[in-house]
Order: sequence, then C-alpha cells, then structure tokens
Amino acid sequence: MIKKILSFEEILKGCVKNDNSCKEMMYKSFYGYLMGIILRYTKNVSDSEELVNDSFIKIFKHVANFKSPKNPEELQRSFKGWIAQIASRTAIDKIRSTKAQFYVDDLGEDEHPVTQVSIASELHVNDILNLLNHLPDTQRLVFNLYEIEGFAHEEISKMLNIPESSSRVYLTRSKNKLRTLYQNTMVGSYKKNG
Amino acid sequence: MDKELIEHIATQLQQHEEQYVPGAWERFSEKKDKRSRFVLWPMWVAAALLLVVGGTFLIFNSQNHKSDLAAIKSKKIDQKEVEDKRIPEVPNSNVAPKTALNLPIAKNNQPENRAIQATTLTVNRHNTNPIIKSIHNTLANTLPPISLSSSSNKKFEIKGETKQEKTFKKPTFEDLLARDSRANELKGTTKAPINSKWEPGIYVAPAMGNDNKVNMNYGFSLSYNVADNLSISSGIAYSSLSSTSNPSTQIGAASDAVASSVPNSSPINSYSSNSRSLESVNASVRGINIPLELKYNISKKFYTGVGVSALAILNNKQDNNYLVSTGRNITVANTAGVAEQKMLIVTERVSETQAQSLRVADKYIGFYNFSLGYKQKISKKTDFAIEPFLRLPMKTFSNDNLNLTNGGLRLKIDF
Repeated sequence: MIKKILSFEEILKGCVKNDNSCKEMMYKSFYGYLMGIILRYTKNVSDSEELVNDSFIKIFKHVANFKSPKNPEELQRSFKGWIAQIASRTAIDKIRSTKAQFYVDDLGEDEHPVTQVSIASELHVNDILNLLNHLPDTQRLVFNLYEIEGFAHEEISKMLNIPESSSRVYLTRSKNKLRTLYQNTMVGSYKKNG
Repeated sequence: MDKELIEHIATQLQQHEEQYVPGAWERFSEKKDKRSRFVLWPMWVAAALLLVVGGTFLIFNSQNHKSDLAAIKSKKIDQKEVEDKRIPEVPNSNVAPKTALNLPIAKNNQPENRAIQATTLTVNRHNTNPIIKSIHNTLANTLPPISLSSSSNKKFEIKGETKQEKTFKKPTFEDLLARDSRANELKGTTKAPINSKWEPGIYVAPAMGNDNKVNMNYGFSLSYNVADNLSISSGIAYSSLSSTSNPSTQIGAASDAVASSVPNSSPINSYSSNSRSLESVNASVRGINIPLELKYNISKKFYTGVGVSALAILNNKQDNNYLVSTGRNITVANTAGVAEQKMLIVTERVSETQAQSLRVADKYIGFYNFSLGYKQKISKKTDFAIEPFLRLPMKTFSNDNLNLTNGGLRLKIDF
C-alpha cells in the first residue's frame, strides 16, 4: 500500500502512456473506492461492476486530460475527486438511459416539517445501503447528489432535466422516508433485541 | 452519539470504500480486449480482403502481355571440355547409320539468324523431340554400356546441383556479416529525441523468391501511431529481388533445331544437329523500395501489417538459360585404317544475358505487402521485432512471366 502511494504519480504517468501494468495498479487501488460510489446509485450488484468498469474505461481514456494540482500532496485527493465525478456521472447516465424521464408526481403535497432523528448507534454502511435500496430511484438519486456529492439543486435540476423545485421535493421526501425507514426497521429491531 | 441520521448517512457513505474483488481486473481487461477486437477485426479483415482481391485481379489482368524473345548474344559455358574428353573413350565397335538422323543441315550459324529462327521455330519443338529421342535410342542400342548420351547428361546434372548449392549458401554468410555491420553502423546515427508517437527503426530482411536465392534488404522505417492499436509506417529500403521462371510453363519459350556443321580437327567429316530449348530465365532486380504500411496491434506483442510499396529499379539483369543438345556424327579412322562413324550427343547449358534494349522499360514496380510480427522489448526504448512478410507484385514483371513474389523475415529494431 505504501509503495502504491509513493508511486502514485508514476502510476498516473504510466496510465497516460497506456502502460497496462500501471492501469492494473490503478484499477486495483481505486476499484473499491469507485464501487463505494456506484453502490449509492444502484441496487444491482452485477450492474455495479459494469458501471465501475465503464467508469474506468472513461478514466483511462481521458486520464491525459486530468490536470494535476499545483500542490503535489493533493495529487491523489484531487485525482480521487476527479474519478468520483466520472463514476457518479456514469451512474447517472445509466439511470437516465433506463428511465426515459423523471416524471414528477403530485408535488403540491404539503411537505412534512423536518423532524430530527438521532441515531442510537453507529449504522453500518451495509444497513445504510439497505435503507437506500428502499427509496424510489429518483429520490435516491437526488439524495445522493445533494447530500453526498454536494451538488446544489440548480445543478441537479439541470443534470436530471427536472425543475429545481422538484429536486427540493424529492430531497425532502427521500430524507423523510429514510428517517421513517430507520425508525421502523433499525430502531425497532434494536429495541426488540435489547 | 447523538447525530442526525441524514448527516450520519452522508458521512458514512462518503467515507465508504468497498473491498477489491479478486478477478475484477481480469474481467475488465478481458472485456476491453473483446470489445476492441470485435470493433476492429472486421474492418481489418475487410481491408486485407480488398487488397488481396484487387491485387489478384490486377495480376491476372496484366498477364496477357507477351512478346517475342530478345536478340541474344551467346556465351558458352565451358562444357566443351567434357565433350572433348569423352570422345576418345568411346569404343569403336559400332557405327550408327548416318541415315538414321533425319536432321536438316543448315550452313548458317550466325547469332542474328538464330534469334530470328528462335521465334519462328517455336512450333517445331514438339516435332524435334521425337528426333532427339530416336537419337537416344539408337545410341543406346549401338553403343556399349558407357553410353555417351547418358553419361554426359549425368555429369551435367551433378554440376548443376553443386552450382545451386553454392548460390544458396554463399549469401547467407555474407548477409550475416552485412547485417552485423549494418546494425552497428546505424546504431550510432539514430539517437535524436523523438516524440513518443513516432517510432523510427532499422531492419534487415533476408528474402527469398521462387529461385531459392536469399536476397538482402536493408531499410529504415518510421512509423506513426494513429491510435492505440493502429499505426502507419513508411520508410526507405534498399532491396533486391530475384526470380526464375519455369520452362515447362513457358509458352513463348524458344526451342529450335538448328543443324550446323562444326569444324573438327581429326575426323574426316562430322555433322551435328542442335536442339535448343529455353530452360529457365533468371532475373534479378535491385532498387530503392518505399513502403507504406498500416499496422494493427493484435496484442501487446503481436501485430499484423498490410500495405503497398513502390520499388524504383536501379539495376535489372536478366539471364536466359538454354539447354542445347547437339547430336554429332563423327567419322574417325580407326587403327585398322577403316573409317568408322560415331554418333555423339552433347548437351550444353548456355546462358545469355538479355539485351539492354529489350529489358523492361518499367522504372517502378508496385507490391502488396503482408506481414505478421512479433515484438519483444529489449530495453526501455528499444524493441526488437521479428516479422515474416510476403510481397506480391501488382503485375507481372517483364515479358517472361517472371514472378517476383517473395517472402522473408524482417529483423527490426525500433527506437
């Protein structure tokens, strides 16, 4: 691992030169990272590897265009940011292609007041992903983009070709649903057990 | 531990990384290979097919051009010695009747006339064969075991074989030396800093045509990588080609039966008959070859190439080899003082250089090139490649249907 970090710059250069062993190193070191991102977007595990691979194809194709930051210490972090962006775009494209349009249903519905739900114990990532899997696709996507990727509603609306207001609604709904899901499943089971 | 759920989810997910699944890279690279192969192979095959079909079409189209043989100046191989030695050895037992030879006696022996006859007498070839056969027969019957006709032929065959071996072995040794010196020579010169897309190289390529002679080609090549797997290469090379054509398939081959009286010292009188047939045509061409080639990398180490090349002819030599069978009737006075008549058949091989004026006027020959290569890295920037190749001429060269198709092995160093 240490060796990899030390030679990250070399690996990057090797990838630019289309060196296969460097590509392999790159792939193996960032597979898990990208998979973590992809899994937020998709339920299907077999789909997810395909999406990771698609992302890597794009990464290797455009790796020469990656502009390394002035500060060499930030190189790996900025590269990770760059590939994360590629991965999430790939996932979004895939979702978009399967869903012809994001139709927005009864947005006039009153939004529930945001109630704070505190967690009793640390939630495991698998549990979180499980919770996410219960969300409708669009809600899940908006939640991902806003809360985790940090996009603004304006950007999301452009990305998904929906009104900004819809993005807000989806976000609120997804959050509320997550809270209820959490309280109904996780907390309930913990209470029963403990 | 009181933490808002959503916040927690966000941070958890942001930090989360999955484990690497063993075998994922293998699946990935396999898939990528498959994809590129599927996309590019059909195009590649189509291009190759197009070239092959077009090439054969051109070859067959241009095969109909044929004209008469050249005017020739003859030079005899030192075959006479054999003939002279043989004569005294023949036992003087039987005399073949003179009338058995139904051969015309011509007084003319001049080369210009021969040339004319060569063209007019081609039809007679089939007719003369039986005559020659009959000579053989009478000889076999009348002469004791050491039949001259057969023994002289045998001797001759052996000579021919040894000659061929020599020509085959000789170049290879020279070539090795030349290859080494050439490689050393060029090593020092090509060290300019070059963009990674450009790949210069030098090569030597021993090649062999249908005459089994090894010809050397030396060249410099420069290739440009258009895409990951595709590159265009060109260059300049000194190349030599040689070819021979088979007499049996020659329709326009000259064979004539010219009977001529040969002056002989001791015999009282002598007659001889000549039967001449074109045995083979040897041609060698030397020139500067300029190829243009498209290369596709099948894998990291293997690649194929298809291309065309133009050969500017610097030097062009063509030799016609004739087989001349001469039947001679010699009258000798034996020890008893009685005149005896003997029949001898002498076969000679005569090689004649084609006249300058009648050689091919073409200054260029086009070729289709096909190659398959194996590449091995020997240092960071240097590759060594072994590349079997095949060169097909776009049209037949010269009037004698010479087939300049040749193949060989290119040994290449890329920088």
